[in-house]
Amino acid sequence: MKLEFLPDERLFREEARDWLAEHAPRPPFPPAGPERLAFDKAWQGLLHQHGWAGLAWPIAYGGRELSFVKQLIWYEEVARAGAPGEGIFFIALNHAGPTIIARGSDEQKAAFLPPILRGETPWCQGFSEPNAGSDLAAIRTSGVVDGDCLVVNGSKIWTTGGHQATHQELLIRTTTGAKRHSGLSWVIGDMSLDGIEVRPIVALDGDIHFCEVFYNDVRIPLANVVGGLGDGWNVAMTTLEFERATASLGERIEIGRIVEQLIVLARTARDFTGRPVIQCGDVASRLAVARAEAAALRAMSYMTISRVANDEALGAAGIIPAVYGTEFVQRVHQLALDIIGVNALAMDGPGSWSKRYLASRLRTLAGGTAQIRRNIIGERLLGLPRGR
Amino acid sequence: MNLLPNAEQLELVRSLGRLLADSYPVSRLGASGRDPASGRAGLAALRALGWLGVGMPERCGGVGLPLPEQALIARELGGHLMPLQTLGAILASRIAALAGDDDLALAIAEGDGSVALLVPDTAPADDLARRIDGYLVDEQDANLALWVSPRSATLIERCSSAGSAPLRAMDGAGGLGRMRADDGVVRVSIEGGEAFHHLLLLLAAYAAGMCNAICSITADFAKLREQFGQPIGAFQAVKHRCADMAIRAEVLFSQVAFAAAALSEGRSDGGYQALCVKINASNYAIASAQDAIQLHGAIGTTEELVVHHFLKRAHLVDLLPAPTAVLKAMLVDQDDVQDVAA
Repeated sequence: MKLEFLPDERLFREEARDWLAEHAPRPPFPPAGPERLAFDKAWQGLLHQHGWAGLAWPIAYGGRELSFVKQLIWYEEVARAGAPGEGIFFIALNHAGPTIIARGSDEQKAAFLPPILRGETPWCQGFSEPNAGSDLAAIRTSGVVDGDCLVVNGSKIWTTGGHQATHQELLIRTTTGAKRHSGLSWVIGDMSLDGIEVRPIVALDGDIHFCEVFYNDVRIPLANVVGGLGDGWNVAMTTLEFERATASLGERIEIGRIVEQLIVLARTARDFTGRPVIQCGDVASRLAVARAEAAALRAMSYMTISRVANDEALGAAGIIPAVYGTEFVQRVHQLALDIIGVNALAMDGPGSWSKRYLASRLRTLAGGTAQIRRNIIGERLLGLPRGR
Repeated sequence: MNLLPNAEQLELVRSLGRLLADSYPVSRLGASGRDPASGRAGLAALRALGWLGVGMPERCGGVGLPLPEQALIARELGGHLMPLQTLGAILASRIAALAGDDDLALAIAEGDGSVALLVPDTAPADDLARRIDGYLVDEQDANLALWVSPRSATLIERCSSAGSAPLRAMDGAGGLGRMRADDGVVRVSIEGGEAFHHLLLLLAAYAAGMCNAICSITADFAKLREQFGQPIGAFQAVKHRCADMAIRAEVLFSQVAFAAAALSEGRSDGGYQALCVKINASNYAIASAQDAIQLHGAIGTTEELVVHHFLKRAHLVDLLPAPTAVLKAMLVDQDDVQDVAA
């Protein structure tokens, strides 16, 4: 039970801090849209140019192969500098890339990994379908072998960044009549192929977070199947495992800083009656709890890193920070609205708190609903029986 | 950085856990196995085995364990609902030693000095006045009272003549005493906030142990109790509340480790982290105990099971060393610590 970092790790922190101070763009960053896409690509390109791309990726595939502790330090420094997160490259860097590294062929690695690090190819995730959301194994989008191609038909939904991605990790059913988890294949899809139609969906904050994607006789080369036909479920699970350890570290660290911003805001802003907002007992009490819970989330990030660094399997306990963290993010943003008071009426007021509050409602759904995650904790961690 | 307990720390916890599970399981507090003397017997046994001297420096005969180890010990004690005199002794023996009274320190850790935590009715404006009225928690037979404020810590010897009729405690497991300013004489006192942070950590760890234990007890019950032809734990309404209890336990496991290490390593955010973990631990221990009663159904509201003790004890811990509302006001006034050690 130690917090102290090693000399080598402290040096790395200084290196990261100095570089970010010099190179990281300063907020405000462009709003969602084409301008933000270009911004995210430029930022990823700059990281790559200076050797900061693919921190978790093996050196053999162009990454930094940093220890888990150094990855934690990097995310802390990014938050401290107020630098941008991975943005549109989140899936490429944390899901698609690592999956190809773990399960892809040499040809796939050579073709698809370098452009990710260079910031050229944002990826999206084609897993969920209209009738396969939480019940992912109910996937019906099909791929039929025809010569050296799979002919894909069906539709995907809640495809984050689907309107901007160049590539897709696509989970489809390639064996009809097979049982739920078998008969699926994990395929690399090029979003520019004929027969793909993308319908952006406007979310409650007015932004396009995700899309519906339709596939009409889309021909994808068999060479793009990762891990073999029919092995898609296992490959997909490899992908989802990555998210548990480090992929959400950035958000979990950043929320601690958002709480501090709110405390500063509550000390300076005036409430409906003209006194500083923080003098409202309810706000002060919730800010204190927010600080305490932000500290808890930070402790959990450190504990998660400690576990993976010591080769401990995270198991079902690995999703606890995800449940706690996403619900905490929502509480913090609701608190923000109570601090800004009537200014919450404007969607794009200073700090964009209303917009961010609305967007926070997505957090307990994306990547697994809070309810499904509680089922997993109950069944796999506590050993409670499955029910119908 | 490695927040996981190391092999020696794990072994320490296991040996204490075995001792407590064998001799002082929480079932001792239930109606079937109620043993009113078990609190005293448990204290005596722990004292004899040296567990109450873990906070006392080696210089004066203590074990001198670091705070992470002490936190792990407090967690075990909480998981078995052991009297808070255990934490009182661990902290008070250290305070006596720091104040230079090695004899008193030794008496608390190994001899006949028993320490109950004192909760003042109101925070005195001036610590030096040492004139405080308040409650003594888990008071049974205690001859010393420990009062810890954010600025100082004081050990008061109770006058034997002052004994008033014991009060009926909300949490009846350990007894409740009433103390007035004239009922004791100051034995030792030290200045500074170290003892306050130390106590916050020990109490948070104790509550973390409670959260862990009540989660296991409730999940086990949900696997056995059947309604509508299946164990109630198969119903999501039950399962999800069990999951919430598991989440709280896991959160506190990590946060206690973080705060213990921060304090132990003398980081500038040590006190901040201790405040944070104590606030969460209080809130979560109460919430999990309430969930446990609800999920046990009607039997959970009775004295036939041990569940009610968790709720009562959670509220007791919530008021130590000061009510959580006070701790929250302290926390919100602190400086930003995001960049400490970064």
